Amino acid sequence: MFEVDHVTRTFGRRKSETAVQALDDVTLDIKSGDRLGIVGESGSGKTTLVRLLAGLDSPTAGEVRFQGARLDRRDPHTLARLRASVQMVFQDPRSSLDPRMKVGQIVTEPLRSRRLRQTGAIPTDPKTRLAEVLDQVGLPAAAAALYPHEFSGGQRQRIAIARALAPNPDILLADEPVSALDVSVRAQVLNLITDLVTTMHLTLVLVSHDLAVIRHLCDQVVVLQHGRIVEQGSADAVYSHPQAAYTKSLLAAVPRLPD
Amino acid sequence: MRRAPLVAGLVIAAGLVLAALVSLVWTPYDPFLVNGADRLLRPSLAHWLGTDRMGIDLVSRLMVGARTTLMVGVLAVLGAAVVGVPLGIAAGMRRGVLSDVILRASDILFALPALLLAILLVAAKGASVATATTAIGIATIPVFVRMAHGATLSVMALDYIDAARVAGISAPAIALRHVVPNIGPILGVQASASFSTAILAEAGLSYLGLAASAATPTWGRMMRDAQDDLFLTPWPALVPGLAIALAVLGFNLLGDGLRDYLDPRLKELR
Repeated sequence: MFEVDHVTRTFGRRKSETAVQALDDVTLDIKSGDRLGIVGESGSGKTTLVRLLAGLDSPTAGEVRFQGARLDRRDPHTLARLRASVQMVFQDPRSSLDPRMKVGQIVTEPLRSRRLRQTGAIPTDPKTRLAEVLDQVGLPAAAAALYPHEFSGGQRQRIAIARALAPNPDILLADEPVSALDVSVRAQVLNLITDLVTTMHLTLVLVSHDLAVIRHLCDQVVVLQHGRIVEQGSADAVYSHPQAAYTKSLLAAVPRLPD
Repeated sequence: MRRAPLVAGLVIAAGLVLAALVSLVWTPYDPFLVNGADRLLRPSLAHWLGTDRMGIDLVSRLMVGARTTLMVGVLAVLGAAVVGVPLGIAAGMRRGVLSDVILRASDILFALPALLLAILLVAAKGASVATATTAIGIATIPVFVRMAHGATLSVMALDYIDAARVAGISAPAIALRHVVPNIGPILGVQASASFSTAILAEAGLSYLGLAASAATPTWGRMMRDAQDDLFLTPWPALVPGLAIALAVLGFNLLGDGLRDYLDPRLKELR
């Protein structure tokens, strides 16, 4: 579905001293049905990579293709197709939900997009769809009439997930979806994402610094360090026989309970 | 107690509006009738604030003057906001050449003294309340450009803007649906502060004879007319001067109060 082809992303003026190379010659294939985990410490470029997949940013060099078509700001048609089938859950629901909108408006926002409606690929009845997705994420129908600040962190992330599900996407991008949440609700939200990915046959791209989270949800892993892919493969292989020294150090840093 | 500035500001602003509205149907005396017998009277039960050199009741004159003051303030601030806010939002949402052009043009206008602008306009169009309003409005545009630009930048950094883009919402729709409602409170505070600046500017221009003619009573004009009699009696100059000070204080308090009231970080303290 996605082909990331020798992508480099540099922030700041090129070749100046302050330039930051967030991604350096990254090549990656994401196939339908994959559950891909992107792992790395902060500053490794994992968020930059997922923003490129979401069409929120463009590569400095190389290209990102979605269903064979090159993603380009100036190509609204491809971008609309991307947005109709690729949705994203952000890290912090306190920032990703507009505080001045009611939950019903927030969740149905993708359905009211003219560009997405023109693709003909999204549900056409916002009211019915709103009730469906609220139910799927385990929120009462009455939530639609309330504002985001009236909910807890975990519930707010459920609202953000409901919004991502509303246009009936094929691919779900999640950028550190639980790291801003209380430890006590992380497992619930992770289980919700797992259930939704399974029942709706979604392709999942999950960014996290937390190897335990990746292991819980993903079957493929990409390890990023300083904007480069240092290791990739099936989750089982990477976890049991890490090849790169960086992966080994990441795995060694995971706290374990004594057996 | 934290709401005290807001309440005081609201009371003063409401009093000003009320005085202006009432003056349309009633004033204690005719605000335009020259009466030689009652010249320069001290405050008394008959004339609460005394009379001016033409024998006109100062309360009546002040009430009618409030109309001009309010009208100049409302039109200048509204006009500046209507021009400046969309430019500031555009500059905040689209970085690059467009943003640079808007911000540099705004800086140039900001550097131009408002008084110079007023003198230029008066030279071209003649002194009138409309000319003064236009000059004050133009001089206020960069204030709104800057304020809207900064506020838009901080809103654009929030994830709900990216979420709206992922949801396929176009830039103009994002501006209307997400940016405007979220920067609205900041702009409201700015409008109130600019309003008091506009009142002061109008008084200054009137005093210099760059705004209202003698036939239009404004507070600045009243001070100008009274200055020759300053040593005979201070009342005709003091009364409009205090009115200007009170109005400026009122709208500043209103702006400060609104800012505190709308600041979500201070919500728990309320």
